[in-house]
Amino acid sequence: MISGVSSRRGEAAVTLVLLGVALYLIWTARGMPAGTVALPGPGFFPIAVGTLLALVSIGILVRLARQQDGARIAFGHRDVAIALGALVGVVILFEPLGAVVTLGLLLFVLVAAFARIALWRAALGALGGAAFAWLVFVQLLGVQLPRGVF
Amino acid sequence: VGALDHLAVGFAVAFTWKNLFYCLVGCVWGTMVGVLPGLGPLAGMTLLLPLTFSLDPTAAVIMLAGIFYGAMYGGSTTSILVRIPGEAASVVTCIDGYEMARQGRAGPALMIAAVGSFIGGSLSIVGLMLFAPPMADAMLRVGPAAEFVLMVLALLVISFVSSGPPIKTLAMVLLGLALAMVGLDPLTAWPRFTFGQLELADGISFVALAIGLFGVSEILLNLERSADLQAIRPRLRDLFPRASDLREAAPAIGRGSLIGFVFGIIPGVSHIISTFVAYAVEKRVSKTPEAFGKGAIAGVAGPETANNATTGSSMIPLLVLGIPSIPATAILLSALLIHGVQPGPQLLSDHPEVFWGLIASMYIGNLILLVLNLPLVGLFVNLLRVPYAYLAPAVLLVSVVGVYSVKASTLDIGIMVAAGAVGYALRKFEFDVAPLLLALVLGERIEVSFRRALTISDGDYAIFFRGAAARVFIVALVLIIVLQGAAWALGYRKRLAASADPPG
Repeated sequence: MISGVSSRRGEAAVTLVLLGVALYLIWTARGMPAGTVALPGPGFFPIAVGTLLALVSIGILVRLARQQDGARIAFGHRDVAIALGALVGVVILFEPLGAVVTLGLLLFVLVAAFARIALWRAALGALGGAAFAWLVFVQLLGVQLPRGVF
Repeated sequence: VGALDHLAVGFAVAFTWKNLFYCLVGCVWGTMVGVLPGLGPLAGMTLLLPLTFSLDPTAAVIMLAGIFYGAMYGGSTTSILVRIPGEAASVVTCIDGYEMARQGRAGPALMIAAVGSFIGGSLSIVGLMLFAPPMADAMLRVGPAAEFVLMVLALLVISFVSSGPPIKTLAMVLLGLALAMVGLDPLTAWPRFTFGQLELADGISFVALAIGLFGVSEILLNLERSADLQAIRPRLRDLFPRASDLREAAPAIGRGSLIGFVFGIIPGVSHIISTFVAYAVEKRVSKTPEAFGKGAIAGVAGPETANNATTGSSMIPLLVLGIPSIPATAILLSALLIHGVQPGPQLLSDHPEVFWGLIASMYIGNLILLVLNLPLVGLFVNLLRVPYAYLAPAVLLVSVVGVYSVKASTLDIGIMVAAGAVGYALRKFEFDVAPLLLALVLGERIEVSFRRALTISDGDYAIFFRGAAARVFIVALVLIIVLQGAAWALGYRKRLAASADPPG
């Protein structure tokens, strides 16, 4: 376990992000034509939704302020962090390295980390998995995937 | 007679080799994701959604619907044999189903669950067939103001019946509406929140967001609690229930069918509510309520029947109004829209082959599932032996390829990863992500109908409170709230919380 947070703090953090989204909507929509009530423009709805989201977010924060601190919630498990990190790696490497190599690396990292087996076994499994994915998706289903270095 | 004629056409569509094949694929995949804890119908549907793009709309929707109701069947297997719900709607089945399995009666529990699912599912399709056409006729007369009111009501009801606090669900609805605004304005083509990215002009990819929010976040959450599963292995020769079991289960199946059908039409977490209500009703009408929790077969038959009856009737809001009432039907809506088919009152006249082909395929699919879930139950139970350490990487790989295949966009993979991380955080702190997805799907139509209505009325907001349709919808809202209040009074939330954390 990497860390745990109190449920109240976690909810407050999420709500603050929502409030940020609401303010961003309102701020950005100011640069769009709002139109009139009889002919609403593209900025009309974002301002309405942004305002409502801001009010609801403030409502959640007020509710949280009145609550006792709740139970601690496990957040950021080692495997979760590894999975997210590996997926970010896929986003970066997918086009330059190609799909098959990137997906092979993804499988290698995840299997080695989750199953905690010998690296050569994980590498063998990843190789087989990537080859199987290429066979099914590219050859059988005709999915166009980036070839990258190949 | 008209409906039967149309149904005959539907069977002609569904009985082609191609559509039978996709129905079978959907049912098998649905049962698999239903059996596997942590991979429910949503993840199952979203993972295969990109693969449906090369199919015609009828085959695509037949396969996705097969996954949807197949998962409902499969979910009961894990509940009964492992005491872990394969998907959320099977939570109640854990209570008496697992107790029956512990007493060496896993076979009858599985049999009654499958037969009840079959009967409930089939009866709800009859209801769908009978109610959908007249409702679609009525909906054709509805204007943009009433359409706006109807959609807002649907989202509000979802906020109030969700398992979390309504204010948090409302925040998720508004976030969904905000995400729906990314892209070109539907009426003026003004770019909104695109960050200068041409790829975002069409809006945020629904597939990337859905797979991230439901598929990836589910995997991340399950990584934290992966543990070896110990399944009770049923013996096939013990499948058949005793005569006393049948006497007890038959009325429960009848009541479950009715409860499931009614709750399926109501937007929100209808599957979960209907199963809890069915369980509460069975316990209340039983001559031996003390047997509930200790292996009462009516406690399996009622909820499992209701669960599958809900599946059929939840298609009514989607097919008749074009409004998905639950995330699974939102994915079906998205699949139809991608194929240029607009669900709603005109679906029956514009694409009768899709509507009636789907209904006919659901009859066939229910039969396939009955066959799959009884003799082959041992095969599906073997899936529980696959360690999560191998299953999770495989699912993530399929997610990446699936999302990329839609638009050949690496940005979409990025959106999926971001949505997965956000979904993980939201679900950790009990923000329900299902309403977000529903609002995202409905967002553009809500905005367009709102702006059109104001333009028609020359800026008079009273248009949203005028006309017979608006009044009908307000009455419907009151009825829905009363029904949900009844569900609340039956204590489904308390039971949900209690069953989610069953004693060791």
